[in-house]
Amino acid sequence: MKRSSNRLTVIVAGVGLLAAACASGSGTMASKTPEQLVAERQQLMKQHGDSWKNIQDSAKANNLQGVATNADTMNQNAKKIVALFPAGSMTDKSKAKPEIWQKFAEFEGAAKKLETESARLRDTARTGNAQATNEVIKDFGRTACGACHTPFRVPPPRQG
Amino acid sequence: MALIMCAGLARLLLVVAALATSVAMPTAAEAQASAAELARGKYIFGATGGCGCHTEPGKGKPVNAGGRRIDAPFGTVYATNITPDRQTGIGAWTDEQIITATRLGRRPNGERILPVHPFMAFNGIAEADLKALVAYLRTIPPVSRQNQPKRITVPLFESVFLPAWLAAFAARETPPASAPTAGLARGEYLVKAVGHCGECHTPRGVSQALDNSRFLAGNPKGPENSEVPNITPDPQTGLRWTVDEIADYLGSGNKPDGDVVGGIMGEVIYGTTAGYKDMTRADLTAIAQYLKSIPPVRNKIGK
Repeated sequence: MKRSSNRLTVIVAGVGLLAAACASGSGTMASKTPEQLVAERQQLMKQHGDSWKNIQDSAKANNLQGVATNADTMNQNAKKIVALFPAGSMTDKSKAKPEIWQKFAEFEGAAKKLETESARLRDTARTGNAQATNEVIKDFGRTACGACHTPFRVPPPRQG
Repeated sequence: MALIMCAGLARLLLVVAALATSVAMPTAAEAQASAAELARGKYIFGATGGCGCHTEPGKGKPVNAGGRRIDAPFGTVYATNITPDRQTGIGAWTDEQIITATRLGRRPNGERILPVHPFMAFNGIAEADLKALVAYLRTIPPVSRQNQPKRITVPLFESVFLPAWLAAFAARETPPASAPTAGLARGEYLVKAVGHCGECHTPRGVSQALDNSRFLAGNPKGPENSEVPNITPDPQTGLRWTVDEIADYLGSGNKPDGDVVGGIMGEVIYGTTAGYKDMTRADLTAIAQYLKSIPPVRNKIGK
């Protein structure tokens, strides 16, 4: 009798845990299909590209306000990256490499780097110091974008 | 009959290689180089893309220590340790032995290096640049790391096919004593020899030799399953960027549309201790001008 009651407890607890797991997994991201996730992150990366182009153009025009505004947009968007890459969110259209999920901590670190570097660029541009801003811009593509693209993205087959 | 001839050729090559082998040790003079020569060597190292195949990808991997896995149609090879470690690297090799391996693909013990190492391109690097490169290689911290044996899956590959392939395709040029210093000739030198762009960007024929009739026209089956872009100036399928945009890209990884480089191209631009990004603006411009001058080839890569 005691044994069967224990078993019942285990089953009830198990069902409860399963339900909890399902509930926690049914948040906004998990409810999206891989196709939706891929489309959203490609849209996000397109915005990053636009921001980065605007930053470089603004810097050439000595428009530090433009640099700061676009760096802030990048910073806000950078915070959205990791949540758009749940395990298994791959489609034929995706240019994400499977290495993302094999080295997820490294991927998270690269996304975090974009967040901190874009904040640094925004804050530097806000000081009005053009030289310091250009110093950040000089290595930004490599440290903030390329550090993730190089290991984790399949490059486009068309150049220019 | 062809097989017998190839086997005979293989033996002949082995004898030649054995004769070429020496047991010389690096001298003290070889271990010391001027600051200017080391700077030049580092520059050439960067202009090759940082010899990145010899460093495992990923953060914190020791430069030049080898181990990177490279899958080829004939099997799998692992990049070798080219740090100055005397036991497991190339520290005990003389300058001449390192140069022979780099430009002719032959180890001091006579072994042939598989043409995965781009000795066919490096064959065209000027003598003085190679010497400076070797001097710089000796300054990279030594790492004790045993080379992993290759796994050849094609029968008779090394005894028959490789010698025949090398007899047919291997470069036999004498490198220029000095490198061109400016203009299209400089760009050609950096693209063809030092930067070895064709190794990835030129399509290969059934023999896996580069099809130089379609030089830099892109490779749909590039290394690590990548689709490598056509960088001839073909307006429909090639590179349409301006000279300045190409130079900006090679010097920073930044593309004109706001995108940023990735994949193996990211590795060679950013480099290891140095990369394409560390070339002078004059050299990057020479490369860009040369790329604009080569014959356009219509070859669509990707969907």
